[in-house]
Amino acid sequence: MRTISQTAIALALIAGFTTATAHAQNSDFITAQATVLTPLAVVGDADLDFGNVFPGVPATVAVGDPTAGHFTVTGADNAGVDITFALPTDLVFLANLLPIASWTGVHNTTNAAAGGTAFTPSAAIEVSRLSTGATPGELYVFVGATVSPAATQPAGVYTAPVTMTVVYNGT
Amino acid sequence: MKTLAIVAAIALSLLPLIPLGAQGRGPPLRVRGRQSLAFNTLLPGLPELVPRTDVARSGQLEIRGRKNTQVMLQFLLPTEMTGPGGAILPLAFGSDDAGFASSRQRGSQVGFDPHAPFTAGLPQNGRGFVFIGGTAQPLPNQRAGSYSATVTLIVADPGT
Repeated sequence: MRTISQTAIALALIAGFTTATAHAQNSDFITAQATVLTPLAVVGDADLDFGNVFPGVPATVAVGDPTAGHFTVTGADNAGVDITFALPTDLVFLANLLPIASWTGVHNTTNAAAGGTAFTPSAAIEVSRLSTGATPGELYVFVGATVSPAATQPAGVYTAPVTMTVVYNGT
Repeated sequence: MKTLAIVAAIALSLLPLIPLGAQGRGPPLRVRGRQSLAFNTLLPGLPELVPRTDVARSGQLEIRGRKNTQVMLQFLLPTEMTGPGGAILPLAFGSDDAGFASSRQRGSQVGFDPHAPFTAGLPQNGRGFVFIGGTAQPLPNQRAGSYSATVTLIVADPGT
């Protein structure tokens, strides 16, 4: 009988707990949702090329020149972006330096320097916006500069990276 | 001992017939999701915060239970949303990203930490509203597309 009574009490407790749970707890859910737009892609698709330069004679490539540096940016339609540059102060050949300065730039939603927005490439943020309309989500950036070879500049091929970074700015 | 066994058996037979509502009058405790937590469109690399007080975008759930009683709230929170091809988008909830109110008016919310249980009081009409905000953190190279996750709210009578 003792066993029977203990079993009955345990069953009663279980039944009571089960009932309590069923009546006193409830749950439901909602959904967290988002749509992510196109990530930015930046391609440096033309070098800033000064060609042959003469010792002691500065050379300039303008943003509208065929040898200007050129970047293509693609991303979300009409999205605002911040553009920054990491620029060299010298081109390098072995241990020799060729100063480069007087940077110029133009950004445009069509692939032409003419009609674009002029700016000075630097580490400071340049604000722009990707295109909208028939060819949405595009931006083109043109870069020029001046090199100043010394009169005794050693002959050689001088190079340095020009890095452009583009991020969405949420506008 | 025989008497005890008989009493227990009687109790056993009666318990399922006595709803806990007998401890207080009113409908059983229920919660229903009313509105998704909507981050809408996101740009890769730009975190987006939806405040719990954002009427249009915060997640909202409605509780119904017995009037003038307390309920225990506990969220089951995701750490990421899932998108195209199984891509994941990190999701974070701050210590003040949940709110409770006795009406849908955002100004009446009492904030609480959605990571911890929270005890709230249901008012005279037995209805309460729970709001949840959060921050989506898309990576700079986040794959484009639709992402989603489930936010679950468990509501319990703290007396059980």
